Amino acid sequence: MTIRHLGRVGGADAAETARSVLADVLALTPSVAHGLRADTALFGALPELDSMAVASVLTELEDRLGIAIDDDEVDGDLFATFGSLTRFVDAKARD
Amino acid sequence: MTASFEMALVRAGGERLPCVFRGPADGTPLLILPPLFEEMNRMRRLLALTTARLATMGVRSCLPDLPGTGDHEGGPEAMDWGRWRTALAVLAGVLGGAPHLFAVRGGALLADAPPGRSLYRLAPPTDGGKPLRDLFRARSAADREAGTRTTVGALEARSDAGDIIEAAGYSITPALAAALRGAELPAPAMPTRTIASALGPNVDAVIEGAPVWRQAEPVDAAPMAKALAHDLAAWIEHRGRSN
Repeated sequence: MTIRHLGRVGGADAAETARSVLADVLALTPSVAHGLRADTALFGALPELDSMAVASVLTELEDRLGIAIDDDEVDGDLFATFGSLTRFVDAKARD
Repeated sequence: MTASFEMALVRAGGERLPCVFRGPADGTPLLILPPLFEEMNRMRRLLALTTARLATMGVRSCLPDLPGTGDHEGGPEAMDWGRWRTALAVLAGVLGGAPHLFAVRGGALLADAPPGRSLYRLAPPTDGGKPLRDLFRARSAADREAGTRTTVGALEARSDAGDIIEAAGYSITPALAAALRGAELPAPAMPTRTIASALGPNVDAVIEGAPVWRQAEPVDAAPMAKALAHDLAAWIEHRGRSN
């Protein structure tokens, strides 16, 4: 089996972590996943990302980053765009 | 050729547990400690394909529905941590004594209940608080879709105060919530192998593929089932010689 190495996440790695989590949890096609840019709209634009999927994305992020995400850290803007999610991942990884 | 697929109601202590058996009657016994709540729904196909492949390799597997879940006749009060533990312990006896154990996700929290000769864990949570929070988060998300706002904290407070919380199709009693909150991943008392989606403490190897237990609409489980069956069969073969 292939061993994936987890390093400290930050900067460009935050985008790739966010991309990978979204792709895995939402079962995005490779082209959709690779096409996510900072200004790509997520919640409300990606049909796969409903509130249930948001819960799964948050839990998977917690597992991959080894962090806890409180309710009050999650507002409507967090999943507005791929960029807003990436910035959140970056900030949490640096904590 | 004897049938290698069977659904049966197994008498285990005071319980009648719906179980799916696969594999030859004289095959190497494998008791599956199932994933919890909605993860069982998401992993059903993965487990079916994995055990079907294991059956061709001479493994006789038993996949039970824990009390209060799946096809089990009990209601929400049957989803009781102690009752789950007892059911698994007695089921191991029904399977001949100390079967190999395959703990799937939250099932690993119950791994010290049944006697076993080896333990294989797929992506175990760090403690019972995780699956509980997953449930409350799912409830919070569903409420948001419906236009109301319910925080995870509010659900935890209501559970503490004695309310049954409906989440992801399950009625979570205060007793079950408390048991999950207090549940720690047992320190393995037998040879153990842990597989997960990423490296971490106590992880022996990484399994490729997206985590179907995390997907609202699980993708084709066949590739992961194949990898899982082969790794698990090799592990059992290695451990299976009586010692």
